Amino acid sequence: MTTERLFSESYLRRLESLALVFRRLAATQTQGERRSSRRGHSVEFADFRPYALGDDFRRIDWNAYARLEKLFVKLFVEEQEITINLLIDNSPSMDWGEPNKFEYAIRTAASLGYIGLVNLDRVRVQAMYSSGERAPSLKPVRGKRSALTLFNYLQSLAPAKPEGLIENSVVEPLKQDHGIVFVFSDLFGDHWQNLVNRVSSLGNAVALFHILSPDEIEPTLSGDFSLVDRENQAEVEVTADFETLRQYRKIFTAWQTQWQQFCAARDVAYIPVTTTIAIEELMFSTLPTQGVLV
Amino acid sequence: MSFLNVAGFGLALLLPLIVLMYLLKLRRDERPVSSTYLWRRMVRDVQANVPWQRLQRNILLILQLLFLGALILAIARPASQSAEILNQSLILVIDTSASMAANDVEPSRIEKAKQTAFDLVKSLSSNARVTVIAAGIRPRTLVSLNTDRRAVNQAISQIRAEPGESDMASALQIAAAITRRQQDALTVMLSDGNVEMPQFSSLPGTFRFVPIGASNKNQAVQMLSLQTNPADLSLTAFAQVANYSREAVARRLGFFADGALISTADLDIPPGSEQSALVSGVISTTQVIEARLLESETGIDFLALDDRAFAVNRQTGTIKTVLVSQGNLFLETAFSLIPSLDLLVINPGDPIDAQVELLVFDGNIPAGEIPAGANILFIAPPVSTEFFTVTGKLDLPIPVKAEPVNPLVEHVDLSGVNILDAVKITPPEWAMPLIEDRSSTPQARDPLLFVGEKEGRRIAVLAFELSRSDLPLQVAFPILISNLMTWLTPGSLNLAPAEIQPGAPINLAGFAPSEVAANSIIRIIRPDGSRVEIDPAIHESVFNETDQLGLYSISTDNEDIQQFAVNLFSPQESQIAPTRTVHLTGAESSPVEMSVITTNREWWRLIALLAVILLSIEWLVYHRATLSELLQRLLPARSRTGAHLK
Repeated sequence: MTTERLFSESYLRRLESLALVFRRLAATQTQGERRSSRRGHSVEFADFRPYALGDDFRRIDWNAYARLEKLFVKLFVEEQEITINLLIDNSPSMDWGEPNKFEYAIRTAASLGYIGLVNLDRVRVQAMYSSGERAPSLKPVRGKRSALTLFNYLQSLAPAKPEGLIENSVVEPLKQDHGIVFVFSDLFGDHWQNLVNRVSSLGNAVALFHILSPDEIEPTLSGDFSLVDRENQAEVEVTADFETLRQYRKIFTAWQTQWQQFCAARDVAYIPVTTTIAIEELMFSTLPTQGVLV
Repeated sequence: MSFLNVAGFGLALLLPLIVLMYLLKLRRDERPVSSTYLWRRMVRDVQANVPWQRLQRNILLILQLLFLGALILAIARPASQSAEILNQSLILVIDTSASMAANDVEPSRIEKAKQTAFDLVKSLSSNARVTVIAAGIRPRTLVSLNTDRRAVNQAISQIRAEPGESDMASALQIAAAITRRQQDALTVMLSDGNVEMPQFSSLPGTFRFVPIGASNKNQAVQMLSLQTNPADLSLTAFAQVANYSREAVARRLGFFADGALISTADLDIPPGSEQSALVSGVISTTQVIEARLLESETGIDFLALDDRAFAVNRQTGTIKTVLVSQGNLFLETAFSLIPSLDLLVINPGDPIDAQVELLVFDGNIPAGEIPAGANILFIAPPVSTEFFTVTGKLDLPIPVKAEPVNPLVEHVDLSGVNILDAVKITPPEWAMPLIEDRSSTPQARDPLLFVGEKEGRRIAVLAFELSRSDLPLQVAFPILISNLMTWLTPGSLNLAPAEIQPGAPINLAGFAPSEVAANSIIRIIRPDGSRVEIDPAIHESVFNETDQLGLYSISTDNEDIQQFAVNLFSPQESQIAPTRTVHLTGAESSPVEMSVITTNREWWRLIALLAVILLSIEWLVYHRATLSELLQRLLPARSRTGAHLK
């Protein structure tokens, strides 16, 4: 699959104008081009501060000393190289909806990963489900030229068997590569809170993309049905009438509110996404207002 | 509550079928969803109201079962017996025959029938029309299609039992004629069932028979006859008593001669059979013999009407008749057939008894003085007399009745009568010709027989000798002689029959006076003492108010009293055992039986409506999701428009 298929050139060019921002950026060992809130060694001036014993005297601003006869140390924005982790829920429930949730997640992940690559960040992709021992993942790539690798890898991902959530293989790498974690999931399942909890507790900046298709938000059932779960084939008998649908909406709203509160408590950015929202709108309108992109 | 179509419940077999189909259908449509995570949560939530939820799950099944149940119930046609009559037209046919006078039910059958009729009328809806037909000897329609309840009740209260048989056939014909014009008519026959049902094709509408009566205990004087002993003219009365009960009874029969008890007879009558009693040697002057069942302790008798019978002795009062003849076998034979004639045959010229009442001159004329007051019959007078003039002789006259035809010769057939010759008589002024000679000139035909009254006598003149014609060999002869004798002996012969059936008409033509007594009036005293006066000049001389049992007396101004009896000799009426069933030969030809008058108020319409409602509810429930969606779309639309309007 080619880049053109995933995104248009103009879209990619527009993406290049965007940059990731996060209130909380986790420091990594390697310096990168990511602006961080920590003051450090970079060419971008941040602030002055009075010289204190032990400071690198090379950073004393002699011009200031000449004007003010006081020693000031120049502080620079510390430029860090951070890892952008794209955690993608590839459970069968994601392969659903029109437009398809999984595809939407892939495109969103690709867009964000591309922004990361353009900004010389490391981008890592981690699928969360696997039929095997380890969940498929893409080793961190860096630089704009790796975009094709990223895109190809994302497109090669496919929904896996439902029971194989490899939680440890998802969480462990994050312990080494602190940075930004983007989680793309429909959050169907009770295990998701635990996972988000663990990921956020590692000091990463976490953004949770709650991706849902319209029929999950507003079911259009009518009559008696036996609803079959795609993941575990579990059946739920439902007589879909006005009352039932009302009940469902109530439950749904409560569920979303619960996630919102859960994320807020852990400083996780909770971004509910309906697949009907155009990806451009998401990238250029929704995410900047959410404080994810600039 | 009863069911008119119990077979309809057979459809209940469909109920398990629905359940079965439901069980088969219970497999719901499978619909894959991305995840049942939220749905499971919801179901968990809803599980709190489980019983209702279970019920709701099967609400379609319950509704369908209810619908089918209601449908089956409607098909079974449930009906509640209602005292209220829902028909729009009620035709009451009340039997007023003699047996309805029986008092085996309090106070009597006819009163009971009337009470039932009142009740029926009361239970009618106010706009229903009522017809009351009294089925007596002559059925009468008392009120017809009347909505005025007061008039109807008045008509019913007028009804009395009549002492005869009822003409139920005619009554029901009238009812049928009315029901044919009426929709939804109910014909109710109130009777003890001792009636002859008609054989007509159909009685439209509904027919109900309300049997009245409870007992069959009755004994009746079934026959009473009188015979004269030729030897001493004494009378012998013969009576027959029938027992219609199912038990043997001992009854005492009393014979009364002119009101005085002359004899009794103790009769032990087995059930359903008869016993006879005889009393002989009753003096010949007795006018009326009555046979009466006397009060009894053993035999219970609910019908009093048939316990008495009267017989009128008509053998009294012989008429002294003298036949002046040289011997006429025909005449003597004809006279001997009239028992009341006390006939004496003498030769012409012999002295005539002054007490004689009727003189017959056969081929001669009176030689001497004719006794005063005696009526005279001349047969072929040879010469003129003081009453008429003989002018010659007629050869081979052809007899025809004179116009207008006199009742005396009305039934006398002259067509085959041949006459050799006759005396030509110029009719006097008083004469009324009965038979004329057709061969003479039409303007002045010669009379062959004429009658008339002169100087208080009745005179009849026959212009030909019996031996010179074949009249005596004809059937017409005894009739003619009898008629002439009747006319010549007024008040002395049996002008009225001694006994008739109740309600039968009696012809009083014989009492109709001749022109002499044109202003006389016939008076009849009925058994209850009521008087009826008949003016023959105005009314038909037919008396038909013979609807009372007992003795009737007829009298005119100048005639003696004559009596006749009306007796109920009707086994059909005396057999008072009530019938529970009557067979009405109608289109269905099935026996119509109804012990209690009720109408079925049917409920199937209501239940069918319920079924339709249930079906509608079922449909709504089935499509509730679609409907709720529709509602949902509709409501925001409405609120939007509302906002827009603001």
